[in-house]
Amino acid sequence: MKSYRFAYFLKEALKGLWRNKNYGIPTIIVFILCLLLVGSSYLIYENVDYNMNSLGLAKEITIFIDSATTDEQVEAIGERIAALDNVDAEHIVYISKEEALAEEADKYAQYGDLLQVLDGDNPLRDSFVIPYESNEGVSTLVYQLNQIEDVAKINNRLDLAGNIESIKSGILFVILGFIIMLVAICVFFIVNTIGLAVMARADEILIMRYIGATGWFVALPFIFEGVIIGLVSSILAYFAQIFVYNHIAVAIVGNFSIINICPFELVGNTILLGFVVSGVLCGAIGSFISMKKYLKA
Amino acid sequence: MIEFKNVTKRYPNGTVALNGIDLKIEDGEFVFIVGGNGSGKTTLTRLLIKEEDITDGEIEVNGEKLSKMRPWRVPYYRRTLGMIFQDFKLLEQKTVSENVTFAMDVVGKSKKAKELNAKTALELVKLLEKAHCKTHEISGGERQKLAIARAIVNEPKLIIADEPTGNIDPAMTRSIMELLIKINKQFDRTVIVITHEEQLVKYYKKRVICIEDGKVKSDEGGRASVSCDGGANE
Repeated sequence: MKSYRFAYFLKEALKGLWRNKNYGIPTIIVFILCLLLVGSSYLIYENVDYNMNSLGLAKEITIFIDSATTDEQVEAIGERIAALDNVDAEHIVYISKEEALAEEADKYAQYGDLLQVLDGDNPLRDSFVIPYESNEGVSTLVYQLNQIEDVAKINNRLDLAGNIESIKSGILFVILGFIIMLVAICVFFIVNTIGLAVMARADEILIMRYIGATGWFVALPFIFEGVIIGLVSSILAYFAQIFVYNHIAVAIVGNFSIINICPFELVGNTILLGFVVSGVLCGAIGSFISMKKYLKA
Repeated sequence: MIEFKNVTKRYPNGTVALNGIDLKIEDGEFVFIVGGNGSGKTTLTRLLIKEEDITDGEIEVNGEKLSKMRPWRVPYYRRTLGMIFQDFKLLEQKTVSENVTFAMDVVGKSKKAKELNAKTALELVKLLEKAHCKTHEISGGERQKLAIARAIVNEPKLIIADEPTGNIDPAMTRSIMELLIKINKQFDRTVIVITHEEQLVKYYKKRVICIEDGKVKSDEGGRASVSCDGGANE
């Protein structure tokens, strides 16, 4: 598309939006509400995931090594673990007993005198945090880890982790449902909004057809109009989502100290991208449906 | 050249608007098409601009068969026509100049070409000094002149004027007709004027095709008298 034509379509779309603001604004509000619904569900999902990780309920197993094991033996154990199936070898983390003690000291800094009781002894053990790839076959992995010499203890919370994974799947299912609803509602609103805009400009369209405008020439300003509605809605919905999350959700959940709130910055980009893509697509699809008959002729 | 070969148009409700019409209009001709209400002249125009499809027969415009024309080709065909309507069909919210450049936006002319062509067209219809006026600020006759400027700005080969003087006073009628004749003579464009105004047809002594009951009743070149009972002489 030549640049001046793009500018023409954009200008016409903006003029159209201004002319039809009485229909456009309610559509933008509906778009924002739908996107907020999906965004909030996604944030719940991310928070469950975040809390699982915080509580060590992620897909990982921690093994503790016998205290008498030498550094060479620990290294050999690390290599054996990395070679096992279903292990995400790149992300295995080794925590020495000194690091573990320092971490505990940090965690309970207000009770500093407690560590003095140890009198220089370190009762903790070296450990490996082993992420695994699939829940299926994790029992085999636990068995294989048990077979490694000098492994003193294996920590895993497979039942709880499994339950929380089910909850996550449920939330994911709800999100998918919301997305389908969002698409249907938004497309319906766009079809009607653009349909009304077309009716308001029926005379102009008729003149355009008489003087040789192609179907695309007639339709593109309206399709741009739908895309702009989707884009503006998604950006506004993003800021509304930040407000809702940081002020409302945090205030409510803040009363439950057991729950950790996932910082918005961690998921902000994904939400913005998701909002923009779904907003623009719904706008384009809806306006395309409205203009289909003009594109055929 | 425009050629109607045994053209019949039957609407889905069974009405036969045109019934085996044969006629030929050469390039550069000026033709009046006359006829009473329901005679079929509007259907003839709609077929010519490919707004309706013919039921039987064939219409050829500059070698192109309209019955074989694909839908995507229709806009490009219409760019070779200049349409003038009784109700002007102008864009009320736009200025005089914008109404003319709008026709060039449709065909994708450059900004420079748009400015130049708009100036030339508005100069021809003597509306250049009102280029920045809104359409509703000019008189009925001027509105029709503006419609003519829009019709010619893309340099079409054929101008079709459907009752161009129907909504304007007699003095302006003459001015509009002089303009159409000038376009025909000076720019060698084929001009078809559909009208029911007997005095107008008599005055200009051009070819007159009279349509009645969907058939060509008479086709008289350059004669003042028009024998079209129930049509132009009504």
